[in-house]
Amino acid sequence: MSVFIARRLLLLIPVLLGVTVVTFTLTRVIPGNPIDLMVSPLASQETRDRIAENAGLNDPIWVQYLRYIEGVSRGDFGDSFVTNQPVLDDLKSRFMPTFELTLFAMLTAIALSVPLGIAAAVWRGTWIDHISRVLAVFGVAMPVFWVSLVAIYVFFFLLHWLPAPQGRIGIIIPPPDRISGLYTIDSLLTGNWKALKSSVQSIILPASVLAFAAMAPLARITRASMIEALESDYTRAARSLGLSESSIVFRHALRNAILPVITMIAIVYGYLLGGVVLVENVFAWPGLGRYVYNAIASSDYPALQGFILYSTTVYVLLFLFVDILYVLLDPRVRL
Amino acid sequence: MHNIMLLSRRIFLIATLAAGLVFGNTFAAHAQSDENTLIIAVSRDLQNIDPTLTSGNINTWEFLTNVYSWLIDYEVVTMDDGTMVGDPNSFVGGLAESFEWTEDGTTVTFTMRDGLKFSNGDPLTAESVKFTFDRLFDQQGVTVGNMALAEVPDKHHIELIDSKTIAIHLDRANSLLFGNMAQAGNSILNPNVVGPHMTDDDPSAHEWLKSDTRGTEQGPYRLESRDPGNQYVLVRNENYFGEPAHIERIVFQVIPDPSSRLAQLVSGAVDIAMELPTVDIPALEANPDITVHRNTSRTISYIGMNNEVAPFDNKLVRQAISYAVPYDTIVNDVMNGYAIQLKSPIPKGTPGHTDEFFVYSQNLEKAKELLDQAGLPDGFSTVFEIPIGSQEAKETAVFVQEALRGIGIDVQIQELPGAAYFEKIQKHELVFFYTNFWISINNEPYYHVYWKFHHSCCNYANYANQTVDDLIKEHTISTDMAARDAALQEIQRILLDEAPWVLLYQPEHILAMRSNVKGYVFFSADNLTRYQHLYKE
Repeated sequence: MSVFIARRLLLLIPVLLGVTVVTFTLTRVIPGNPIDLMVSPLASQETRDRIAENAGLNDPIWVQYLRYIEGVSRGDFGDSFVTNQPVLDDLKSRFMPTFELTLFAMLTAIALSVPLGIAAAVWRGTWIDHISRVLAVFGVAMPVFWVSLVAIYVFFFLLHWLPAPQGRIGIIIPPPDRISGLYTIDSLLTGNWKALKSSVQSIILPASVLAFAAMAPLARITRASMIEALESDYTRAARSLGLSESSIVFRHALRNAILPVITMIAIVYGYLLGGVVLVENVFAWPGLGRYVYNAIASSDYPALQGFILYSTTVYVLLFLFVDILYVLLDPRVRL
Repeated sequence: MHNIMLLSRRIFLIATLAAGLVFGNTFAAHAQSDENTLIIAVSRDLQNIDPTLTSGNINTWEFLTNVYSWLIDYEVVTMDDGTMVGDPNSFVGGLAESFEWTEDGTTVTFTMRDGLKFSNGDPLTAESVKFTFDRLFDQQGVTVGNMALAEVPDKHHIELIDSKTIAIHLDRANSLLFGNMAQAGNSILNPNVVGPHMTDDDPSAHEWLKSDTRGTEQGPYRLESRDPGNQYVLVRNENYFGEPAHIERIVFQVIPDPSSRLAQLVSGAVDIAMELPTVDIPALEANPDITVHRNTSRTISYIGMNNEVAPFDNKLVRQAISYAVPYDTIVNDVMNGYAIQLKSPIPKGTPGHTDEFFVYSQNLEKAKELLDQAGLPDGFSTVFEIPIGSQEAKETAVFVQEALRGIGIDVQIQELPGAAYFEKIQKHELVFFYTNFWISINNEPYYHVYWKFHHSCCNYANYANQTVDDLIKEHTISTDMAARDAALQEIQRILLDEAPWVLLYQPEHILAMRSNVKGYVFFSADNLTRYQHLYKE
C-alpha cells in the first residue's frame, strides 16, 4: 500500500510539470498586458519598462518559465500582480474559506442524495422516484449563480430568515480564534456562540446552493447502481433465503452499489471547485473561487498558475484517496 | 422497509429542529452598525497602495485619499442650495498652513502647520516633505509626469528652507501645479517608517508601501486591518491636523455582485453601496430610507475613431458617423437619464468649455450625404471594440450598430477582456472603440487637451492637427489668460469640425446611502468620497 501511495505521489511531479508548461504558455498567448493594469495610463514609458523589467516580463518566455519552476520548487509561486502578496500566502489564506464551503456543501449533498437515490431505487416508479428525477433535472439544468440569486432574494430579501450575502461571518462580528481555520468549527471549539451563530447562518445559503447542484449526479448514480445491485443474482439469492428487506438493501445491495458512488463523489467535488467560483462571487465569500475569478479578469499570471497547480494537486490527491478507499471498502480490490 | 421510513422521519425532525434554531431571529431592515461605524459595500479589494505608483482602481484611490494628506487641499464651498462641494479649482492650506507665490509666479513657498504628527505620533515637518519629493522624483512614478508638465522637472526644484518652510521652484510660471497636488500622488510620507524599507534593490520602498500605510498616514483616517479579498477597515486618526472625522470606524466589505450590494443597501445591512447599475437608481430614489447623491462628473464617454486608419482618416466619414449616432437615446435609455450629453471634448465643468461649436444631432440623410461625398456611397464594414463587462458599453454599442446600419455601415461588436482592452487602447491599436474611463483630475483645460490630443500617452485616437498642436504647445505653459481662453475656443472649434471622436455623454457620479448618513460632500476633481465629512443621525 505505501509503495502504491509513494508511486502515485511521485507521478504527481510529471503531471504538475505538464500543467505548468500548458498554463504558462496559455496565459502568455492570451492578449492583455498586466502592466496596463498595474500602473496608471499617465505613467511614463520608462516607469512601465522598469516595472516590466522588475516583474521579469521582458525576458524570453523560456527564461521566465525556468525561473518560475525554480521558484515553485522552493515554494515561491511569485507575487500576485493584483494583491501584491506572494501567491502562496494568498492561496493559503483563501483555502480554508473554500474548503469550509465545499465541505458543508458536499456533506449536505451526500446526506440528502444518497438516501434519496436508495429510496428511488427501492421504490422505483413511485412518487419518491419521480421527485428524485425532477430534482436531478433541476439541479443539472439551473445555472448555479441564478439559483444563488433566487435563494438570496427569497431567504434574505423577502423572508429575512438568513443574513445578507456578506461573506463567512457578519461584517462587524469578530471571527473566532483560529484553530482549524473553519469558522464554524473554531467558534464551536472556543465556545464563541455569537460567531458560531453568524457563521452557520452565513454558510447555509451558499452551501445549500452548491449542494443542490451536486445532489443531482449523486442521486442518479446511487439510484442506477442500487438498481443494478438489487437486480443482481446475489440479491435474488438473499431474497429467496428469506432475509429481511432492510438487510438486503443495506447489508448486501448498498455495500456493492457504493463504490461507483464514491468515485462520483470525487468527480462532483472536483466540479464543485469550479462551481464555487460563481457562488463565491455572488455570496461575497472570500475564497479561492473569487481569487481565481479576479486573477482571470486582470491577467494576473502568477495567481492563475498558482491556482491551477493547487487544483491539479487537489484532483490528484482526491483520486488517490478514492483509490485507497476502494481497497478499504472492497476486499476484491488489491493494490 | 419500515425502518427506512422511520429513519427518514427522524432525519426530517432533526432538520426541522436545526432550521428552527438557525432561523430563530429574522434579519430585519436595520443597519448592523451604530453611529460610530460606517459599513460600505465595495466591488473590489484594494490593489497596489503605493501612493505614487498605484493603478486606477477606484477603491484604492479612495482609500489613499482618506488616509493621506497633502500640502494643499481643495476648498470646500457651500452652494446656493446649501449643499457642500469640493471646488477643484480653489486651493487652501492642507498640511501647509499657508502658501505664497512670488510675483513672477515661479516659486511657491509653503509654511507648515505647527505640531503636525503622523498617525504613529512621529512629528511631520518640512524635512518629511523634502524626503517625500526626493523619493517621488527618484522613483519616477506617475506624479513626476504631472510635476514635469508644470515645469518642476527634478528634485532640486524642491528647496528645504527650514523645518517649517519648503519651496517649489518652477522653470516657467504656469497654472498647472496645484491641480494635481491635492491628490494621493503627493502624499507626505514618514521618513522614520518608510526610510528603513528603502534598500539597494528597492530604493523607493515600493515593496512595503504597495501593501501597507501604517505609521505613515496623516489623513483623517488610518488603516486598522486588512483581510485580503474580504474587507479592510479604517479607523479615525487621532493625530489628524484638521477637524476630526465624525465617524470612528469604516468597514469596507468586498461584495462583488452588484445586485447583492443593492439588496444589502436596501435592507440596511450596509450604509453605503458603491457602483450600482443605473437601471436600479430610480427605485432607490423613490425609497425614503435611501438618499441618492447625483452629481454630474467630468468623466468623458466617447467613441474613438483612429484618425490614421482608413476610412476613419477621412474627416467626412467621422462627421457622417457623428451625424448618425442617436445621442438622446444613449443618454435616456443607456444611461437612464443619469448623464448629460457631452458637447465638447472639454467636458462641462472645466473652465473654458463651450458647446457653441457642437452641431451634431442624429440626421441620417445628412450622414448618408457625407458618406457619399467621402466616396463611400455603399458604406463599409467595421468592428466596434468595447471593454467586456460594461453594461453601458454594450448597450451603447447596440444602438450605434443599429444607427450605422441605417447609413450602410455594417458594424460588428467585439467585447475585449479588461487587460486586452487596456493594452490595445494604450498602444493606440483600437480603430473604432468606446471608452468611458477618463477624468482629468487637474481641472485645467490645457491639462486636458494636452494629454488627450497632444501627448502620445493618451491620444488614443491618434488625432494630429498642426494648428491644434501649436496652440497647445504655445498656451499650456503660459500666464496670458486672455490669449489662453481665445486659443481654447479655437481648439474646440477645430476639434468639433474635425470630429476625431463621437462625443457621447458625461455620466453622473451616483452614490447611494442610507438616509441617516448625512454630510456628503462631492469632489468633482476625482469623484472620490472624503469620509471625514460624513456623520450619522
